Amino acid sequence: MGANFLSEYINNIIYGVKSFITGMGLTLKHLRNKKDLVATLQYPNEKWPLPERNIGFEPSDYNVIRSRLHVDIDDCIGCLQCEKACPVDCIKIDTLKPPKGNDYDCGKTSHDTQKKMIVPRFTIDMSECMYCDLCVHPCPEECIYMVGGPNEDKHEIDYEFSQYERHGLIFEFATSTDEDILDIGGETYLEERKVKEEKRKKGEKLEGIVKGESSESVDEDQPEKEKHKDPLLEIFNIVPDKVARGIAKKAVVFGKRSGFDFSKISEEVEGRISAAGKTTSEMSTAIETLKNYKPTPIDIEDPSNSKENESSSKVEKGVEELASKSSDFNVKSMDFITDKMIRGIAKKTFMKCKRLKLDVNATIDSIISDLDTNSKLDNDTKEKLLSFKDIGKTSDNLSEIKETIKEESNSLFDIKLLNAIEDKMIRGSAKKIYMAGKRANKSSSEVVEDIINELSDKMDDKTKGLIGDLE
Amino acid sequence: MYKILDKSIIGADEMVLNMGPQHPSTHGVLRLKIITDGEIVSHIEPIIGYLHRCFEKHCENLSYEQIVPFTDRCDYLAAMHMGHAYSIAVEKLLDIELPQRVEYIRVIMSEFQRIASHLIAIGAFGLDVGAITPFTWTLRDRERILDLFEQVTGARLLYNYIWPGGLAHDLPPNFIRNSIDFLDYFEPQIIEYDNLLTTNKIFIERSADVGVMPKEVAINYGVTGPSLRGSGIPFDLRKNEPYSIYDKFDFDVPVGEGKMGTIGDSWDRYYVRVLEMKESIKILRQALSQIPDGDVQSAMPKKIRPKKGEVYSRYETARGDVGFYIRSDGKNIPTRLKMRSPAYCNLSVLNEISAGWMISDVITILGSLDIVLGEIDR
Amino acid sequence: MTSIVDYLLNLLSFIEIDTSLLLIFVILIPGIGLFLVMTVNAMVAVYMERKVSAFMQDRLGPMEVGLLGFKGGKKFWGGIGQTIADAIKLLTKEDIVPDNADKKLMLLAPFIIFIGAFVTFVAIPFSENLVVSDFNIGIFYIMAMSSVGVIGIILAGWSSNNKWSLYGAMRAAAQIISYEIPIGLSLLLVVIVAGSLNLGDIVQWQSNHRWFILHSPFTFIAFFIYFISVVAETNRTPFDIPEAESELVAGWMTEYSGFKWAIFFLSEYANMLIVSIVASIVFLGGWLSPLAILNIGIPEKWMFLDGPILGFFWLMIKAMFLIFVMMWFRWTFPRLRVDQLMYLCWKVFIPFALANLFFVSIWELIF
Repeated sequence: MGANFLSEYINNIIYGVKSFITGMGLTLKHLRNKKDLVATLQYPNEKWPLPERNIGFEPSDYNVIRSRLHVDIDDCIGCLQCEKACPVDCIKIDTLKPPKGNDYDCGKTSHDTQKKMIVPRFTIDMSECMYCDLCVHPCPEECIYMVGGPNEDKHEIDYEFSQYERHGLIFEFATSTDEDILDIGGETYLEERKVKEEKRKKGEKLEGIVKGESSESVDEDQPEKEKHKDPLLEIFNIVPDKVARGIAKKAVVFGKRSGFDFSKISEEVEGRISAAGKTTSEMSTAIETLKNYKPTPIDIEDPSNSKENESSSKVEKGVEELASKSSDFNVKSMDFITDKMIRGIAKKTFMKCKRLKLDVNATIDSIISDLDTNSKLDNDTKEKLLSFKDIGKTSDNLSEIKETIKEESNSLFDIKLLNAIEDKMIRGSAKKIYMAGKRANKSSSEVVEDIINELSDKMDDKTKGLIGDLE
Repeated sequence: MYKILDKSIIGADEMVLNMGPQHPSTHGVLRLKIITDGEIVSHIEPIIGYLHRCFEKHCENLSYEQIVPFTDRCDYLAAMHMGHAYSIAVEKLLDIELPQRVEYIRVIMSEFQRIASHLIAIGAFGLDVGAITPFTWTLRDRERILDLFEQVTGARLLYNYIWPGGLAHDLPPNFIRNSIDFLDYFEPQIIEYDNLLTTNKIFIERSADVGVMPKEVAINYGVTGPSLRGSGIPFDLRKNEPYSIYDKFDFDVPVGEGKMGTIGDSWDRYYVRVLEMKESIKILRQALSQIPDGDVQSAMPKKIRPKKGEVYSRYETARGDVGFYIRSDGKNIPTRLKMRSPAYCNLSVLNEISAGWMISDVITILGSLDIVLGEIDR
Repeated sequence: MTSIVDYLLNLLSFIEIDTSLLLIFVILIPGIGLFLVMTVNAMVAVYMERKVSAFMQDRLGPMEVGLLGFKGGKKFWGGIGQTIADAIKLLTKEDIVPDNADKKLMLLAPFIIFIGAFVTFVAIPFSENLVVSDFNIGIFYIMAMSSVGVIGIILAGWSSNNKWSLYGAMRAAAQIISYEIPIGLSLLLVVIVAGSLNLGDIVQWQSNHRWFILHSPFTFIAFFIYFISVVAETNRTPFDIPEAESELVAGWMTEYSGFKWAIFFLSEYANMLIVSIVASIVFLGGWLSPLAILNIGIPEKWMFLDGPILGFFWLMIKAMFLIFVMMWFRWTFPRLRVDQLMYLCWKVFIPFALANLFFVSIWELIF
């Protein structure tokens, strides 16, 4: 055992020494043969050759070298294939097509293809580019390529294009002048570009809040203030007396904060106004409106929209909002139900009915029946739901109002209502007819007639009925 | 192995050591929290995520062709493997059959990439152990392989060459001759590395019997690749579940035998990599002599828009078993793409096999597992 | 042999001051000289290391920075001025001290190491009469003074307030102290045979008989044990576990930057020089020319190669060769783990050294 250990010990040492000597001999060999084996390239004096130019492909300008991208802008037909292919979105292209009447000649590419649009903006951000070569392959005119190899003579710099500033790596290739853009009828494009440029310049300065221009800022703030005005307080704007207005508004705010409902708020206002002795006719009207006022889920554009509008679409919108204002029945009305399950069922039914465009009463009925079938209805809930129904009566008035308004103006129905048509093809054609009618300023009934005449053979009864309804 | 001292006897405290994200020896930004008793390690907790780039989420917004450069960047030391694995997955979804020339070229590229990746693994392992010279020599040889890649694709590290349905473009005319020259130059170099590093007594002392991974531990933790084969299990996806045309080639699967110590120690894992390079040379010689002619892009679809379905495909990269799961809804972008990364599972076994060794050994074991953080964090 | 200090004292004896006061002035001159020797050695050794390591690794090393008209660039000698550039850079670097570190100890550590190296130079003879102070316990003094460095290393590791530095320092302490023993035993061998501790006497003995390395197989083995132990002593690979680059970043030197680090660096190369010179004096014949290896009769024509001035160059050539071998070791081998290092010292070197001692005594008795 001892002898075994000793012999193993000695063997280890001998093996170790032998391996050391082999290793050291190898390193010495590398030291002596340094001239042949050195693998360093002294860079600025000696450069590594770029891969072979022609890899057996036509055309002979094709190369595999990855370096700076270049675009021969005269060849670009604006097909946007390279922009779609780029995984990091470093290519940004804007194209402009001459409209129908304009006969601007966009030119021909070097492969004799007629160009159909001009490219006023072709920016490649080389600091984002990942040199993956995916944009080079799809180009049909081979106008975007990486510099180097066979096309080296045309360019000054290839892969050594470091810049001192970051925006030096954003390459712009477009060469369209402003006159060209105006010739082709792209004034709006020029204006948009100007606006963007100004915004960018302003942003670059990063001035922050400038103290000397406080009056300007106040002016700018005011239109915003108007947007955020509370509609409840707006009601009192008809009262000419400022002091009375102030008292009334304060009372409203107090009432809101205390959580009163509207009748109580109006009582509060009345009380305060009479105590101040400012009761006038306008004030009483305002208080009445407040009593009957129902909050809407619609956003703040209400005040501006409830004012007079001439265009038909806005009237339509206003009517719709009025309808929803007075109905006060939306999904959130279900929130009084405390039980989560029942609330969920009620809301689901509400949404279903809304999609089917049932009116308020029908909705409430269906909700009640659904809750009943699930045996989740209790009397309190039923009563509350039925109370919502009462409000529904006003909607009848509203539909009358709607009709009258419609008859008064020759307003066209909204194109979005055509979305009810399920078939894609028919929907498309219907919309086209609608647009044609709109341009010709036809009335809604005429448009509907046109649609029916054109597509009657393709439509089924359901669709016909839908379109008939639109009238 | 060293016995971890029982704290109750001595009353000594444990020390928590942090091998931070910036360290010369963790192969990337990996953070190791090591709890030691003096020099002897009792518990290691790897903390990853420093290189997470949201690859899988990103792929939900990119079309199939656009994902290929991103797969390259996951495992940047074996980029061809990732592209190949992804392309095989997408082709399974699309049910395309590829021309033979495409398959041969892909196999050639993959095997070259395997040699390149193993060269770095060997060099970096030597660097971790303290031998600085073999690292520079292996890197010099790797540069020659990268030159070959540069002739074909134009890029040296991230190629974007293997596309679903074919390749980006064909081989240059001198490629076959250049690669055979390289193979003739490279075979004696492996003998040189053996002389300098593999049979060096100090190196054997450092790595043999260190970090032994028994078979059961390896299988339970899901370890794949050369680390698994170093523990004696002859499992290689190229032989067991052949994909592409690997069943046409004649090669062996090297397995660790415990030549210098026990089976499954760090020396075995290292030696399996050296032997795998030799096997790759064999495959390359056979493939280079048998390339058929053909059109490389004939099977490429114009727009990749697979039908509804999902696919999971496995592939053997230099580090182990990468899996791609792709689910598509009929659009031209995938709904969900997941990549099972081999280095992630290989790293998880670190705690198990390094308990009881010293801190220097932890680095040795980490080097023998050969991880790449880009793949772990994606 | 006379020493420089004696020589200078004699030279300046005409000045009418007390000897001890004169001594203070006279000491300055060799002091500055030694400092110059250390810095020049550091520069040359660093350049040599970078070039040698580069050629062994198939690369080129520093190539661009030229010096005094030797332009950098493509030729083989490019890059000579790189060391000077690096030295200037180190002097102007910011000195970063970690927050919780012990500032005074951190400042003290590099100087202790430097002093250890500097003081050892005092006893080393560079040629026949070129020694600063002729100790008659030369070898003993050198061994004692070169051990002072350990304190500096431990201080550096501890005061950095960094767990990794502490690791490095602890390992260094264990390593350096353990490897003193084989060094001592090998040198003891030589002392037994030569009969004196004085370095000049040892070279004298070698010029009378033959170089020690060829004297008997046991001294041959002693040389190798001595050489490998000094590689461990100076923390060079394969024994550089205290400053293991890939594990501990820079070990006990991690938190040092700028001039303090430059002093560490300087002391490391100074240590290398010291041990190489001692090895060449003791085993390789010192300042004797290689023609006298076996001390056979040499024709008159060649005798001029022996002499005090040329002796200096012979000594330097031998020392440089040994430094080259140390660098050769560094770039070939991986490093040993701490316990393997200790194993090597206590279970391989010390038994061999003791056995050597025993057998050499027998050899001397017989032959």
